[in-house]
Amino acid sequence: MLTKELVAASTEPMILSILSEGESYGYALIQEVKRLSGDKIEWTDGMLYPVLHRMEAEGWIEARWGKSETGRKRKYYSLKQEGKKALKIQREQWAAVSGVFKQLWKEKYA
Amino acid sequence: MPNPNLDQSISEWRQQMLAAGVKSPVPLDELESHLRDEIEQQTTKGLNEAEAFRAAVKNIGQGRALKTEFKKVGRTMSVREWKGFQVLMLSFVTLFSFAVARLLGHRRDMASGQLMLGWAALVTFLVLPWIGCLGYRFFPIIRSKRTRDIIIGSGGVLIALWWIVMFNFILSGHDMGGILVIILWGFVAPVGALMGLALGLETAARKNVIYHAGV
Repeated sequence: MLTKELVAASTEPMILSILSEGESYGYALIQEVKRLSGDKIEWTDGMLYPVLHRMEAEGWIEARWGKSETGRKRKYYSLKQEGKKALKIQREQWAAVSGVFKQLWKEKYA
Repeated sequence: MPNPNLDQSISEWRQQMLAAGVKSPVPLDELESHLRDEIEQQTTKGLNEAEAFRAAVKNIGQGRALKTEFKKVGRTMSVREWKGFQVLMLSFVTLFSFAVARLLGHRRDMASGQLMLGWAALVTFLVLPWIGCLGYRFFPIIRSKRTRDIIIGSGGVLIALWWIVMFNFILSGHDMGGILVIILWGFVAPVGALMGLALGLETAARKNVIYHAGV
């Protein structure tokens, strides 16, 4: 499991990255991150929605009420232009961090 | 096909959430949608609806904890609100400055030294909030809203103390021109400085892109 601080720092770039592939909804976002992390990252429902609402308030993402496959109403989120810009900056920053670790730990995992 | 038992359980869950302070329709409708997603998923894994409901409710958490999480978001002004607030503050500062400038321009009883001091105070009041807004890059990025509030609040307390000193010790015994200059330096310019500080700190914190999610 990730530390609270790491989850806090990585949640927004992960949401932005998933939404850059197309619109999605809360439950699917949680499942996608769980799948991609091999069950190592499991966001709680109570944490995700406030973050989504804050990102919406920041103007990074927008929401619309649509229908699920079974006809229920469901809230879908998609990336806005400001969100694309934020994602670009965050990608650069995370790539810098990742690049350092790759070099530092190269020998260990070679 | 809606299941009346499940709908009844969800309706009761909604009542519990409302009682705990989670607001309707936002975010309660979205949480209900999430709950139903989770139930559908659990039933495909072989759980019956009652078991799936219990598991989903457990995952979504207690109403009080959810309310606390949403409250953290509610405290933050959105980008649009913050921009509106900035425009409102700067419009007020600018219009107020023009009004006082007209007043200073019509005063014939003030000595040139007093007028100079008056104009200097007015320019200070007008310029500092604009510097705060436009020069946010020169302000420290303080992520903690609480720390920013403490700094700005302390500035407010200092100004209030300064006003008390002004009223009791400085204002008495001056002619009208002198009083106007003192009011401008004593009341108006410090407010401009405080607004500049507040706008600068808030804008610097908001322009910094990597945020700490409220988790």
